[in-house]
Amino acid sequence: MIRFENVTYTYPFSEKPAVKNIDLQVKAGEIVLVSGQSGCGKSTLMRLANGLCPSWFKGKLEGSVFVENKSTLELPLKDMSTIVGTLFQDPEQQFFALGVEDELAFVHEWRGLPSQITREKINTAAQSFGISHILGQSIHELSEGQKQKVGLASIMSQEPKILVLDEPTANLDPESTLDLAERLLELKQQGLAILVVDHRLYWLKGIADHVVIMKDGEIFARGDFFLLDDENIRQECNLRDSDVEDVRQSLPDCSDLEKDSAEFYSENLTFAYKGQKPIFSQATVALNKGVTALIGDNGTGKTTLARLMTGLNKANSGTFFIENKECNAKDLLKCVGIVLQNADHQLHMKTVEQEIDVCLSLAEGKKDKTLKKDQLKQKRIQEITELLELFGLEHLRIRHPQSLSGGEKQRLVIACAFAKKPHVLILDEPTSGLDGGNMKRIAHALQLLAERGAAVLVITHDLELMKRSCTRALRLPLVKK
Amino acid sequence: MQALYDTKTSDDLKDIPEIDVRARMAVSFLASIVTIIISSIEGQIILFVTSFLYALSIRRYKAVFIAYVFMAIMIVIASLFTYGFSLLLPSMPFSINGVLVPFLRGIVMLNVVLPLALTCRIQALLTALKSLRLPFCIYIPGAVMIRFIPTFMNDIKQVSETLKIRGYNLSFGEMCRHPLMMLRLMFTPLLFRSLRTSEELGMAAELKGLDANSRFVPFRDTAWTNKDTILLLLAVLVSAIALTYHFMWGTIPAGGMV
Amino acid sequence: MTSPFNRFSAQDLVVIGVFAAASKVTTLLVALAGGGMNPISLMGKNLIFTMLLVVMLCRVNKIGTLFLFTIINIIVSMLLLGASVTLLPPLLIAALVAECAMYPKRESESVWNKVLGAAIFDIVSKSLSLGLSWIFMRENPAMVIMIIPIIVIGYIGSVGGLFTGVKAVKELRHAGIIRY
Repeated sequence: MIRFENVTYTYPFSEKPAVKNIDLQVKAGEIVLVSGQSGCGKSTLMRLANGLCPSWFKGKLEGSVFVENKSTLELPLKDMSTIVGTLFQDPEQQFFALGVEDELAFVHEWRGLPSQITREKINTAAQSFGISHILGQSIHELSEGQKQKVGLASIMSQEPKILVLDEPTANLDPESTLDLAERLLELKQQGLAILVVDHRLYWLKGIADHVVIMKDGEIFARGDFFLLDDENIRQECNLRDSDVEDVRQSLPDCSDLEKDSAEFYSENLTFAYKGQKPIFSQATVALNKGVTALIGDNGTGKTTLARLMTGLNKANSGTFFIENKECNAKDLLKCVGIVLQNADHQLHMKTVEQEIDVCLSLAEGKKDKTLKKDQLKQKRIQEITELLELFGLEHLRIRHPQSLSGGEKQRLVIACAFAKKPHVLILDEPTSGLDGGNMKRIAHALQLLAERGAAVLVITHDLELMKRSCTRALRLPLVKK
Repeated sequence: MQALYDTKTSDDLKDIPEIDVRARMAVSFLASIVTIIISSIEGQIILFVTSFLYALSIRRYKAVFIAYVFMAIMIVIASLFTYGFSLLLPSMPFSINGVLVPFLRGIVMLNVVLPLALTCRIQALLTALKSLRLPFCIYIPGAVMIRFIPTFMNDIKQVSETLKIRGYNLSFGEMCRHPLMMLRLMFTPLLFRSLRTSEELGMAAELKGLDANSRFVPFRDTAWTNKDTILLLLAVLVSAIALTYHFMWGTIPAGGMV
Repeated sequence: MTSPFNRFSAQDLVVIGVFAAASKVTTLLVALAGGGMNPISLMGKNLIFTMLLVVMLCRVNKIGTLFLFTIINIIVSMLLLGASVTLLPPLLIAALVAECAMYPKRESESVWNKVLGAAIFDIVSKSLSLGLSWIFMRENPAMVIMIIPIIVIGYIGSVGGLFTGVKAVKELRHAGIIRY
């Protein structure tokens, strides 16, 4: 059981408390869902529950947090870890080993358990999470859903009484999300107290016993899951929808598009990684202006297709056309933009403004040499301001890009991709881990780009984004037309 | 080197004699001491021949060949330089024998490190690290280092692709013209990523209950076998023969400082 | 007996490991990209290594960090890249000398103490590796002379790394990642 008693917590180097006057209880055999817009204090709540605040982050704690009736202030983190298990958004970042079996063994090895017992714990955890067949694999070969299972299996092998999950579905596809929901239901039935912090809500319908909505560090509303059906509350706290329609089957397919009308067209596309069987064979890809969802199971080649379309990988054979003009790999690099999943890799400069400025200058360097220097400067400033406004980043103009929150970084890298004014823009999971407000902002920006005449291709597991912005679907595996 | 790019289990290494990494490290250590002591051509030749056979025992002929080609290029460059230098400074005359011993020394070192580097897949490397029974304060950073090498390799690849997409010219010429800018573009994301990763993994370590008083019991046995003992005994024997030969009958190259 | 390294928390050890990985990967890739021996890549890899070293010493502000970092680097390099054990003594001696130089103000928040440590580590390790080259090539002194410019060019990169290290720490403070 977790119990918060009038808790107020302030991080070091901060004057304002991250959470205020929190009273909350998660009983054994109960799932409590905490949601709220980015920066509302829900992650701090999670850190208070697992003891990271204040043991690790330091800072000032007023009130008390109890786990299994023991104050977290009196329990060292080492002892806390035997009671509370924590699963992060990206479980891979928690892994110390490179192999699945080694990762499951890691904690037990360091707790000095006899090898026979460690072996038994690995086997039990692997069986109960259905991962026995991947024990010999490297963690880099796993899908996000499998990584999540390995992370959860590793935690559950330590037999905690309490489970804390931080945005567990942010990187999962809808099927893996439902699978996780089933697992949590089982664990709840086994008597665990489970605290879930997430932006996605729909998957816990019928599973979460209580819902807590936070705003500005305080509990704004609490109740059962039906509380989330209240449109006003969702609007007020930038929440996502509590019920989501799966449009993956109903979106019209791109396969009926003709070469002449398509913004992007590729024919006879064949590609195979060295020594492997072809992922695409004599396939046709067509995209028109608008926002298209790229849909396919794991391993069907979504990322590979994006790389081929961008010119990052070279096709074994095939011809590419943009606006009916044939393009080679170099042309593709110029005309196609891509926003990769990890925003950290795409930020290099010292301020947000510089980051966009450099992208504009790289794009203009090739496209517009007719303007004079001061005209160019004026135009640049205007464009930077427009992009910052579009993505709600104007107040962060002089901030260091790496100091932004995850959602802000994500918006900035998309703004940088917009600066290139691409004919085709591909986005890989642009809304993972974003709250409802930011997801809507990105959906709006994508629609705007499409209205300006670009073909936007979105690789996403986010059903809400798909419903809100996509008008067509490109389905994998590809077929020959 | 190969290990860096290969995170798979060692299926293709099945036919290679299974030698404990500790034995291979001991051979490498012994060889480096002996090859430094010996300055005679005969002694070095004994070490070269035996270490070459040891390198071939891993049956990675292509990799050994490539390493030898690189070594040969270095030897040619160094020989040309030494020859040129002898023309400028007659007090440092060029002789084949004079360059032979340092080269043989380098090749011996190459021969003993190749089996270590080429037989250890990165995933198996953590097991190797465990087998060294290192204390917590050395094992944890070592394991983290091995764990993140493939991740960072992939990160750098992604960063360079991002730059390419944005329109940066990443050619070698451009790197020479604007080295600092290129370093910033390539490595700033990595620096921040390192700090963020260490923050997240540090938290994970605390949440797993790791601390300096943790007692480690490996769940997989990494037993020292007779093969390892034989390899070590052979290494000691060869070293003894080479040293004996060097001190009894060795020819010291002229012009050197011994 | 309590190990002198027990004062490192799991978090400190993780930072050391992550930076060891980052420095190994970056220096290796710079060396490979430049074909190994050209002056730009020689300078570049030393610059990056020293810069990361300064940042790491700021992040783990404890006595013994550099020494531990060096040990980890050598062990993993031996296992992974087959680095020679002969590198061990010069690097360990350099790390010890640098630790001694930093000792009086090691746990202060000043970045200059870390710069001093990194500078001493660089110069001592480079000098000792020159000595090591002499031991390896003592039969032919002309070859030792050939090594000198290589080490000097590398050292110029290391000096550059001290400055970029200070700049990186300033930037990390601006980004709020290093708090002092």
